Amino acid sequence: MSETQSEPDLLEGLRAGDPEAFRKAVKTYAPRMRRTASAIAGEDAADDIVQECWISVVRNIKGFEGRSALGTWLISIVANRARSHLRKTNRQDKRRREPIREESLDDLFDQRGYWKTPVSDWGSAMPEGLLESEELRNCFRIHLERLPEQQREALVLREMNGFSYDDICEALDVSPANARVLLHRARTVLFRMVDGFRETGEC
Amino acid sequence: MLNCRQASELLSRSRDEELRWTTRLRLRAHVVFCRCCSSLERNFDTLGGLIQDKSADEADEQWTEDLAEKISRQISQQSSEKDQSDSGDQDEADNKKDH
Repeated sequence: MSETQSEPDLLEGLRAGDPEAFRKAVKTYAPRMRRTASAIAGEDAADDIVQECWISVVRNIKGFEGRSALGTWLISIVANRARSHLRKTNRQDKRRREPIREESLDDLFDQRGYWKTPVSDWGSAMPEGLLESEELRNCFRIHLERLPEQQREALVLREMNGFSYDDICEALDVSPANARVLLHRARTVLFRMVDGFRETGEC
Repeated sequence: MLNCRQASELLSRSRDEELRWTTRLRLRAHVVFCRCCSSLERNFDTLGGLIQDKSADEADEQWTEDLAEKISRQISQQSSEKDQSDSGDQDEADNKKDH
């Protein structure tokens, strides 16, 4: 994942408890942490989760050994907290975030493994502006939230945060083979969702 | 020769890891002749962009400024306090995530 050039200096400042270093670190990493928390636990909870993370980071930065990049460590913390939050709220409200139907790949391919229906290139087949439309983005967010938990997290860690397989496996406690399946299934579900939206304009 | 199902799995994997050159060659040989899988490859790029949702960054700016100020102020207040022992269970769990 791409990090700032001055990460060692920044880390030194954080360990020394330099307020300016913390200000810089928050500005650098907090937006991505917020998007990660929002994608995993929902937008309403994201601000509090990220703020709690930084309070924890303030306390624990001296224990950070630097075996991973600072950004990877921060995103792992935020993903961990977002997951805990989600499980707590899901226990309290079972109606929330009804999981999306797990789509079988058999629905997409025939017995010989070829597409049942042709795939369109969205770049040329979508009405102009649809990809940037707020309606599509909202629909996309809803479907992302409804993905099975591990699929959603794997996708967010990889596509939003550039995590490697090793980092994903450690964060989710899964094997590399599992991580591959999670990512492929998540992409397939969201691909189908956008494709459906393109055809019908409905979420 | 790969079929589309196998190609779609490899197209997903190719976004996350470097495939072996023989596998890359087989995938390219399929994609170049398969309009559907060629479209899927580009659509996966679009999906990546939707997940990143850079449009959210602008809305984050003021919130980030406020949070940075808050954390910075907290550090200043704590600078005289050396006792780090009062961290809760969650903090310990967070420490374990340092890989």
